[in-house]
Amino acid sequence: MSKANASSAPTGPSMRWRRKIPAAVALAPAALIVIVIYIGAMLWTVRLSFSSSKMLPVFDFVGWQQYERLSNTERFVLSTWNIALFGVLFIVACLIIGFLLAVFIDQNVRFEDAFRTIFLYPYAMSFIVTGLAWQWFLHPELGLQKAVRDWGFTSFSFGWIVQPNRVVYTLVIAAVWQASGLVMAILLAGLRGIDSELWKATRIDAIPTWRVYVSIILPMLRPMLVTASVLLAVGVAKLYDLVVAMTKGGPGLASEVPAKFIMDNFFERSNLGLGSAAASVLLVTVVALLSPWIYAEHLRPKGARK
Amino acid sequence: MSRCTGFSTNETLLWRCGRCEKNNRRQKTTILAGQTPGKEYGCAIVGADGGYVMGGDVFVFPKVKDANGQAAQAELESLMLDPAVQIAFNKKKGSIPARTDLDVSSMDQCAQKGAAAVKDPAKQLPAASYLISNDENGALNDVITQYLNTPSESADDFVAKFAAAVKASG
Repeated sequence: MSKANASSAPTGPSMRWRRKIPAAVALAPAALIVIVIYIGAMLWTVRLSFSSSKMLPVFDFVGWQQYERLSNTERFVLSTWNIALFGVLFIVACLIIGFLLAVFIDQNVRFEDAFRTIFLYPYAMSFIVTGLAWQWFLHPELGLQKAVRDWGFTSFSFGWIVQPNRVVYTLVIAAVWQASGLVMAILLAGLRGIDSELWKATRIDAIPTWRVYVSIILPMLRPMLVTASVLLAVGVAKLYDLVVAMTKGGPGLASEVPAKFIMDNFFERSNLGLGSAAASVLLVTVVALLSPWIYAEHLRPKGARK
Repeated sequence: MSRCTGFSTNETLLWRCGRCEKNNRRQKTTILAGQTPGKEYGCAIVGADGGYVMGGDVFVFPKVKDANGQAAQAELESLMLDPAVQIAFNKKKGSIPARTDLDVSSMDQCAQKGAAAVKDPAKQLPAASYLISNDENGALNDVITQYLNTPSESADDFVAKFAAAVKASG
């Protein structure tokens, strides 16, 4: 909007206003939704986290009581550790595998379309389907372990999904299987945008291919990497359905995640206060993690940008 | 109980010796695993006297004016409470009949124990969800499931955490 105004030649403040009206009308519903529903609901949740609400909202004020209980709740503390471990492993593994897949497809392989479809296909599935399929696959009595044992390797053992200290890794495996195709698609678009002249120049300089990818192409793909990371990070924060379908948070509390804690408290345990407090903690964490990036990308003085 | 899924039943059978619980799915998967109550695992009912924890579901029929509809409702009702249906259904479900005047001798050991206990009003105990809030029930379940799945956790730790959960949610 500001660009359009700058390029046109306004004859006076009234003309400028009149020109803005259609745009303002068009944007009003979206703005209303954002302000009332998103931000309103956010403030409402934060407000409830300071109340003693159980099944229905109550607007009293109990200070930090819900947060104190939260920090003493083993399940929530475990959940935050789980999501941190999951988040780091998931994003790093997705970026690496997605990049390698994109590079592989970028070598002008045969049946490129088929490979691209296969790699992207898991992303078309819901997390519930992914979770259920991987639960069966990793189940010691039904899936991989049983199959390998039936082939004759009777000592083979792969029961991560029922081991409390390994189960988070199985969530990572399933989620990476699902999401790395998306990273591949995004990075492949970036790779296709790279000028072929650049490749010719590096060939003349006799730079090994892997070195070109690591030192030249990767820095050029930075915007795509940022986009992919943000999309993956959103997936981490809202991780819920995969856990529900795959492990139900078990064995014990070993694969609990914050979103599941919040949902359980809201809808099963009739405890709006505690659930809101957990949701607020999650919100603050996400904002704290995102704000350096938002600052670097959007708010830094223009002159300081490269 | 969120922890009572088919998955965690298998987990129980695999990693710990079986506990018999009055739970539908647990019974189902236990039958599938080829084990029989009284042989591979036993039945423990609450307390030394064998109390029975009561909980149940309700069928609600919408009021209909149509005579055919009323007849169908009556038929469904009599079918559901039919002695043969009650016995056969609850053998598979892993529960006990909803009426106390049936012969349960064909059912397994767990069901016989349960059915006998229910006949004595002194042994009828309300399920936890009738006594404490969902919040407290859930918080206690978290403590219990963590204890059952953490071999290194001592009984004293468990007691302390249980007490803390009651205090925080009560």
